[in-house]
Amino acid sequence: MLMTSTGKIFLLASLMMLLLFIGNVSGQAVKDTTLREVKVRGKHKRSGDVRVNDFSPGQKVKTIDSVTLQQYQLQNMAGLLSQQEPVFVKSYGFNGLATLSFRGASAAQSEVLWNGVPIQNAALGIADVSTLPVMMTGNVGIVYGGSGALLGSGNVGGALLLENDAPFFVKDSNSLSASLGGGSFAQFMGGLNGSMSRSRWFFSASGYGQYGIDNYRYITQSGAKMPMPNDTMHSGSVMARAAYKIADGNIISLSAWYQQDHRDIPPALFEPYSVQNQADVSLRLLADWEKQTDKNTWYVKSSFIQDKVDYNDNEIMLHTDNTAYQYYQEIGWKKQLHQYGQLLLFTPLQVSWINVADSNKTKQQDKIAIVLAYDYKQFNNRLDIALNARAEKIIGRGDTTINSNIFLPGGDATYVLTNWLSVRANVQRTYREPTLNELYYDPGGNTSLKPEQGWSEDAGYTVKAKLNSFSIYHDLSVFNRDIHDWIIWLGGAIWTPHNIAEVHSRGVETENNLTYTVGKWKLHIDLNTAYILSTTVASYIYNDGSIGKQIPYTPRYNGQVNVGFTYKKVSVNYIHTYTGYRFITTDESEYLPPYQTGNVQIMYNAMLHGRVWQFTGQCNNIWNEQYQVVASRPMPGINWLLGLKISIL
Amino acid sequence: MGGKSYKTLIIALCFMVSCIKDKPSAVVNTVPGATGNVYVVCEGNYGSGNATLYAYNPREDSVFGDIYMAVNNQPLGDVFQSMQHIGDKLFLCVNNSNKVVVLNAGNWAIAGTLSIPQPRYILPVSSTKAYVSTLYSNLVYIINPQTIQVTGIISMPAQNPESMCLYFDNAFTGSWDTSGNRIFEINTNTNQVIDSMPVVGDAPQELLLDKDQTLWVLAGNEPARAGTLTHLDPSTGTILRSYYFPASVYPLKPVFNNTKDTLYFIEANYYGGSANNGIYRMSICDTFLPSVPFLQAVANQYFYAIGVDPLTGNIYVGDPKGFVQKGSVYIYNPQGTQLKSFEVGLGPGHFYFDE
Repeated sequence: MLMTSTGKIFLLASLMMLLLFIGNVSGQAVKDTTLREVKVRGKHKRSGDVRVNDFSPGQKVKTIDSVTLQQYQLQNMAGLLSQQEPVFVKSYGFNGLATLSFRGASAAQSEVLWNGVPIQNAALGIADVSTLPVMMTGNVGIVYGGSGALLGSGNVGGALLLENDAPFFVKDSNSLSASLGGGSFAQFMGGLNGSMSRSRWFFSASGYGQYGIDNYRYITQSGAKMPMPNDTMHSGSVMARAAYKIADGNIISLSAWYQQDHRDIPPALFEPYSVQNQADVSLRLLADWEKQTDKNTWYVKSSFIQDKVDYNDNEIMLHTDNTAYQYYQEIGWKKQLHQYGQLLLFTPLQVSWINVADSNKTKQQDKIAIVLAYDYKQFNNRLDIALNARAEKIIGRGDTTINSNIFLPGGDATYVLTNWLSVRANVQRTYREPTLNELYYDPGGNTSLKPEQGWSEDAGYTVKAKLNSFSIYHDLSVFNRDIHDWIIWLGGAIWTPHNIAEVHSRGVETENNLTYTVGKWKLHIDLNTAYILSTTVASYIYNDGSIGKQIPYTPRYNGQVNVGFTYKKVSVNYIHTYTGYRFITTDESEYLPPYQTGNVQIMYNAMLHGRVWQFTGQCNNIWNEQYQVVASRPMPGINWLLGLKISIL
Repeated sequence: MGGKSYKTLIIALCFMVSCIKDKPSAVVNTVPGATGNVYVVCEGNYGSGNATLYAYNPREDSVFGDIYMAVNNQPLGDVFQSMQHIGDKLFLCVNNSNKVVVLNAGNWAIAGTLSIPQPRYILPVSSTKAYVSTLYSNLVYIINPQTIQVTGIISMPAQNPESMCLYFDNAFTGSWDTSGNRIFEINTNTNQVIDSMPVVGDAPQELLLDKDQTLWVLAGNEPARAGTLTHLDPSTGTILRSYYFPASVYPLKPVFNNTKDTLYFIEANYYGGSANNGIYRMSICDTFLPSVPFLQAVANQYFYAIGVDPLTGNIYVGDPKGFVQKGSVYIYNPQGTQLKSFEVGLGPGHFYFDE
């Protein structure tokens, strides 16, 4: 039987008290002057976000390696994640809208953070990862499972972390690289990345542009093969960053990210034609200050984000032009309390608003919180425990006034049992307030919606071993999550969000890697799998047929195999993906069949004329599978992409 | 850990990792006999292309569907709005697929397709002429049901003609547009708009004739315009009586009983409440709208289809259950006692009695 909320809070509070007590005892123990040889266990940096890196030891965090990012540098996050991670990317077509689903969570329950700032559309609560170019980020990480206390009350299923490299201050260090690419469907893309570092200043700029006519052939419902019409897209993205070192460990930085995407929306299989198009424009500004001393770190983040979505369908005279705004601010303090413990205290403030054109009214949602996290390490860092808690006040101003006070506790831990085996566990309370769109969209917004809330738990182990020329990595996670009042959009003529009384999600994920190194050869085989059940337990709907049935667009089975080798400066990979049945109705009466894609990647680095030339080639869907991720939205068959990156400076 | 606890943990872990078979059970589509059917027009989930045609045969007490898929081995399309039997063919308006699918009435095989943007309703005028109203335009298409061809277009003075009814040699249609409050009269011999007459509310959508050949017009387009019901004499345009729905009430799909003296309609509460939510009925002589539902929808339920069997007077009600799962149809006798219920496709929106 699942533990009650009160029981879990009590358990967490007890653990916190116990840890504080142990922390004090340990603090006294270090006064012992006897020198003992200690082996300090370190771990690689999982994220530039202190909340993830230092205060989430029991949370599964996956960092995508830099070589993989190089391979996908001319593509978007949707392509990267769908081929490399067992998360479900719900894609409405090539270059179409793509949203994330972590561990059976909805898109609105899956967070996307840019340097620690949530960048989902403030009205919709979702992020379109097809508009996020890989080139704009230096590091990509994935947090599996909810972390509401630390990452915010909307974080239920997991989070995608997009982080830029930290500024560095080296005298007269400059870099410049240019990338060009092209491929099937008249795709052309190019980008520039440059940085300039001085002893106190750091500047960097990135630009990316893409053009394509996604006129791939698809099979119609009557079986004919047709080229896809209404399919042009172009996009551009520019990011500029500047940082100034006030003193050692005292840095202030500014970042600006502007992007614009225009895409025609091809017809669905049931439409004979389409004249739909959409333009997305986003501006993201971030100011960041951080000061570090021996035992203290202070930081302030302040960001403003504007997302504009302009959708047109002249066929039905529908023109919507919605702009959502978000101001996010976070002031934090990290304190190394003693050898074993550190404390993080921060106060996030998130203000989201939209202006409703017809009524000239503003709908606003404010979240202000205070978060306390404590991390404790013991037994030569073998044990790492973190407890965290968020007290948040949510104020909504619109047709109805929302005034909620929520408390989100969480705790997680990892323990290194042996040199090759570690275990971890994580318990979090989850909560998501309805978005502005869910409350106020006209027509259909539902001001009677209740917030989603529940608990998530996960546990797992990691095996890391080296045996002669072999290295083995195996990670397994088991998770469980209960959400009450899960929000789902229902309707025909008027779509309206409603609450499902209870949804139970649980599953198993594995990540496996075997590497064999001999001479200049490095061979590897990777296997990622996810088995996820996300089912309706209770419903408010009369005579509901969805009880016990899988939530729509949540594949039970999902996985990738990656086989490849690296020889000198050449790397070759074959990635095979499998995505299981996706139900498109809540009662499992309609579904889409599974699909598999095979993808081949080649990368070659060469030094020519004193410059590094990086050639990349990719053949996607090499078996020409005809498939749909979303009903009636066909995906492309076999397609190519070639790229070249030159390091000019 | 004791031995018992250890075993319990092992069993729990086994349950946790034991996998469910991924492949769903195969869907079996069935086909009814050629006659005596009550067709259920299932809109499908808007944007998903999963509209379906179901049928209930009262004599056999059997449900059949998806008929179109069973016979033609392809999905019908997106938003199946309405259907009409003309001659030996069935005409299916598939709104968001911009087509009218024509089936042979005896075997449901495709006889042809008419490419018409956003078709909504079909009005049979003669064996060689029918009108097709459209959404998001001011056009009524003229078709020849025998040759399955578009033979002409009537440009209406206002947008969204919607439902139509035949009054002797003239056809009446509305304008489901919040900027207008007139209905229009078309001479079916000349296909010309010959007159218009006002009703008491904007956005006239549904028109139907009672036993006295007087016209009832439901108007409104919430939340922009509140609903109204106008009773008028179509020969003169004289308004006989007017009815006003309260704001935030969504009246839908009025139908007459088999003697055409009692009006049934739906009030739908899309937001989960039970107020103004259910099937309402009134006599054509009533001076006020009914305040109490004849059939109450429960919280988090609303009805989306209603039909009255012309043979028995039984009332058919469609529950779309959010348009994200199979809908339900409930059959009531005229006293309001439920006789039967059965499952159909997604979003049952209309009934067509082809008995």
